[in-house]
Amino acid sequence: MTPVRITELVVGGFRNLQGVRLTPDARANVLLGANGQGKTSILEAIDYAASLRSFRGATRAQLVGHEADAAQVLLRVEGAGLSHEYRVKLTRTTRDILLDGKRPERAVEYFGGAACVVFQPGDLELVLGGPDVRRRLLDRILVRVVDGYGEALKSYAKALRARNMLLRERHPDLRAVQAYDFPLARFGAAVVRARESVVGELVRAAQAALGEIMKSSEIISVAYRAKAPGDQVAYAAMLASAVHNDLARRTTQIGPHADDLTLTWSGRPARVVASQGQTRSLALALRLAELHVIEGRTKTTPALLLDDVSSELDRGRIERLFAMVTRLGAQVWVTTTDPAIASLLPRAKRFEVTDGKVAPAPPSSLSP
Amino acid sequence: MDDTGDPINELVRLLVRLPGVGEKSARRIAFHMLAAEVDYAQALGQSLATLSTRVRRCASCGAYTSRELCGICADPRRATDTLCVVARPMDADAIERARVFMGRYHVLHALLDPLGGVGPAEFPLGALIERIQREGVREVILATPPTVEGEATSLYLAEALRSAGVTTTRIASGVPHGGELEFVDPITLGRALEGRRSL
Repeated sequence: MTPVRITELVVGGFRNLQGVRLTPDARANVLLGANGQGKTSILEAIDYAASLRSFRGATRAQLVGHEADAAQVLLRVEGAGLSHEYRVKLTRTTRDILLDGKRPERAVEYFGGAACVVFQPGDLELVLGGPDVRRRLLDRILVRVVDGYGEALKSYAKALRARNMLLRERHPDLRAVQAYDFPLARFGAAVVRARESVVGELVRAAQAALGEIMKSSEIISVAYRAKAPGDQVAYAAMLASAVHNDLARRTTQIGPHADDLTLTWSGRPARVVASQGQTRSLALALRLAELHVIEGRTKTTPALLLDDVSSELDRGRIERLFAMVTRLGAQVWVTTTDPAIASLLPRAKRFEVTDGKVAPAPPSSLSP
Repeated sequence: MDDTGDPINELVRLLVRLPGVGEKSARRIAFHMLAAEVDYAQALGQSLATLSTRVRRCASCGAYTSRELCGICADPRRATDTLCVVARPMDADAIERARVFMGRYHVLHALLDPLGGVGPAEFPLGALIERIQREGVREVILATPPTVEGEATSLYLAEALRSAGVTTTRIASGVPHGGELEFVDPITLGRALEGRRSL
């Protein structure tokens, strides 16, 4: 396994960050500072450059700093002996991406080498939130591990929007609505097949992580229940037979846009039965499973970005998490307000984040 | 401050709207125009200014032409019973350059694209059906692009022409000539496999 190692990070005009330029440690990095200084924004900038999405769900306009015209993030990443430069430039309305100075021809080229996995306080929504949060988890994994998934998902979404728009007209044109069944079935079936192919690995990895870090022997299960089949012909037939239902509801009812990844905890829905501590553990287990699946399929270990873990996990769990990350060899980035957490990673490089600026911080006096 | 800059900036603003031209290339072109012989810039300007009056759509197929009928529609050797339906004039041009098609074209100038403002009400279906009946077309080849909108358009047309008494066919899509399979994207490969035929 080759770990993804970020060897250089340059950020400007992204949220409140200005002139950030840092050379991280190959293994462990800690971003220290009070709340609201920009620690999470640094992780967001890294993950944005790697996945082209904000893990806080922000739009481009929200990512470009108030006083900046454009936001820029440059990531230099080393993996498998090669170094690649990922550069993203955002304005409020546009986005330019460059891989080694060139526009990538296909998304898979870009997503190939700089995988990151983020665990952040908002991840409780993986357990408590709606199906869309869990579909995003699957999609995040699949764009990295299945060639063509990102394109299929995008085409599916486009066909779906067009079909739904036609269904919402006062007198829907049935012929036009059904003209979208073919692209919808083609891309929808591809999305379903990819999602179904990854769930088994995901649940095994989540179960293992739960045992290792949470010392929990609860049996969890994760199931992807697709309402539409992964076979294109059967999918199209299902759309055709459900068209009157769609006309009545004025929207396309069936398809991967409406599917859920259900989580059960000892046989019951996790959302209902898990305690707050268990919810956190399950959310972290799912993120570690994301890391594991990407690692297994791509033979590269994603960098792990941990935002404010001390608010989410107790000290024993954090220690076991850090031990696991060290064993995997993943590069880890930790944000915290608490120097005691930083001391759990004694060999980490420390950075102090103050008002959107980053400076090297001295090693903690608490470190053994 | 520098009042000579304004016409240049104006030209740059117009040039960057061209496909494939960014801010830098636009500036280069603008300065090139200034440095080039006056005749050239004037000839170019004249050509652009009269383009819309000298070029129109062929009354029959919709392709660009300077006459009432385009060269293909006016050519009696072109078959009238086979009609190739394309989205844009440049698509007809691309097929023409391949020199494999001896029928005539029909340029839609649109694809079914409700999100882009072309719903069934706006889609130019009537002109196509009228032409099919007028010219006694027997086969319609649907050569819209293999995109979501292009596929939807071809299915929409196939269904709409079912009652017009013509055979409709769809162009095949798949692996490019001279290409290595390992570099073909999975969507295209999937289509190529679906569209396989026995030998």
